Amino acid sequence: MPGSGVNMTVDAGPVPSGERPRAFKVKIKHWRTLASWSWNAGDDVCGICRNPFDGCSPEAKYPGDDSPVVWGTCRHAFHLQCITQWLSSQTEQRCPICRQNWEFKSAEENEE
Amino acid sequence: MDLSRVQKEIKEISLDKASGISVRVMGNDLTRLQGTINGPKDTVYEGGVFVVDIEIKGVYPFEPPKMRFKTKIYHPNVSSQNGAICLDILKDQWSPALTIKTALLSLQALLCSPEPNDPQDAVVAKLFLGDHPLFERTARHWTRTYATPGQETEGLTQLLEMGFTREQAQEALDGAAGDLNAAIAALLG
Repeated sequence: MPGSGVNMTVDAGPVPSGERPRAFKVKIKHWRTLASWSWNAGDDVCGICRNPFDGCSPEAKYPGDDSPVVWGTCRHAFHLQCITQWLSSQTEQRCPICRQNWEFKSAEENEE
Repeated sequence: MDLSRVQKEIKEISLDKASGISVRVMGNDLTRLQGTINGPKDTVYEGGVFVVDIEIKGVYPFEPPKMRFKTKIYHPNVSSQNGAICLDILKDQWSPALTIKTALLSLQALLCSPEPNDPQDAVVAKLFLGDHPLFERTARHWTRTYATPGQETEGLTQLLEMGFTREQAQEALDGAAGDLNAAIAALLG
């Protein structure tokens, strides 16, 4: 089943001889599910490293937990490693895009 | 060093034919680039092509690219001696969200609107504020002489024909803001 994300192996069972098959009997023997997710950052790439949010920052090996995306209260998003490296090199903590004071937005605030 | 970002930036600039800027890679790595800026229309730099040396350091994009005019240019915010540039975003106002392209576009904007009160070249800035017509003549002369590829000014051609060396002729013309008669007077004086 291409595109559905569900992978099934089916066995149509034996049809008794001499009888007209009335229903198609299906027995699911095995199934797997696949899921995918992406960052809902309102932008495709990190404004600092220009790599996709669904990819990872240059410092990280793997996307996902290894290269999380974080938001500022100004609503701009960056890879955690990228914004951290920028802020640690600066005395004034400002968003690279809008230059407002940078404060990390908490996960609860992001739900809204 | 984040080479992939530099690579992407170079590609993006090469796809944009309308902005009047370009960039090319010098040498084998991506740390030395050369940008060009077309002199903006209706300015004393119109018709000129200005080459900018760009150095990308290892900490890029957390520190700005180093930029310097390679082509001589007569502008209050650029050193007439070594091409050093006074522009805030190339110094303390840099942000990693800026790019080589936005920096070159900012330089192009600086050619349109000089800031003589925050000069890099005090002599040029003084002339800009004190004798603006002479500033404009000089800047146009520099654009024709140094920023117009493969084209000699009429004055230089004449002085060469008169038997002066290229160096002598150029120096005299520069001293006279491109005025041929004044240059001849200086050479014969």
